[in-house]
Amino acid sequence: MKSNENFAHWYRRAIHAFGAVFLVYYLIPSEGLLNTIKIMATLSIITIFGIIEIMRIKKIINLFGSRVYENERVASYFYFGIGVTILLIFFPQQIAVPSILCAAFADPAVGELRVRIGKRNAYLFMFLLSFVLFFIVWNNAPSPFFIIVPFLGAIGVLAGEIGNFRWIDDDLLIQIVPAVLISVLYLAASLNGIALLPNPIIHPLGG
Amino acid sequence: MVKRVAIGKIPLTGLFSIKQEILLTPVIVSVPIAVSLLFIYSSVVSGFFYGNAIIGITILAGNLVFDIPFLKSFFRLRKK
Repeated sequence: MKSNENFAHWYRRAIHAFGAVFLVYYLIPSEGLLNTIKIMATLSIITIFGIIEIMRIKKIINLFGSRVYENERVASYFYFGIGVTILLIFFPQQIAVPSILCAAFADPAVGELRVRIGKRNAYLFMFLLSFVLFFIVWNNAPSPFFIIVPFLGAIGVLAGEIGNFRWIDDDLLIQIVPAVLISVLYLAASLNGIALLPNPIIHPLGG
Repeated sequence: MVKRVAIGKIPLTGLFSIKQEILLTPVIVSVPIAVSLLFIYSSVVSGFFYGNAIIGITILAGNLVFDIPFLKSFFRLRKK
């Protein structure tokens, strides 16, 4: 691989991992005006991404690191941003945090490992890493959900990665599929009077 | 072919494409480190709260895994 291609390759990986910084959202207290400000800031960021994407697709600007197949369609980073926005605003923290971490770290890891250790082993690694990331957040959930939810989350991440859709990027599916699966379980448990959610893992600053 | 749209006297194409990657590299590397340290700091000031610390460490470790080869490739490119 040429040095500029190698740089573009790792640039994309680093941008992916960068996505985890959006969890700083939960460090901001969710009280009164601050809550409105953080929601507005999140929506503003995704709107700016959207404007940049429109300009890129219309070929008004170039974005370094874009792939050839992204020339005529929405780029992965925008799908990633949409997924993060949906999770932060509409899902409980306990579901959003591991889903975002999986998209930020498990997805580039599997992309890297696929060529080094083979597809099957890479997916196995992705499953295990996703399981660990969900377990970090759900380990204080009531039994047996502290095992069931990480398992379901990891299955969802894997399904999001393997599912091949032309117009929906895996960067969005990796976040949304596990979140939806766990939300269905959460709603079913709630209807049966079971409190499924563990305590939130991130406490706001000054909280 | 990329159209050139001018804002004032700055060609927008140039603004976004020339050395865009060099402009963004310090941000891509330093912001996750700063955010992870903020998580760890918030954990320490609230009596070493497990949750914030573990998330901070996860963000730091995850980013370092990809930032190290990224920086290597960056310096290799700068040498050429």
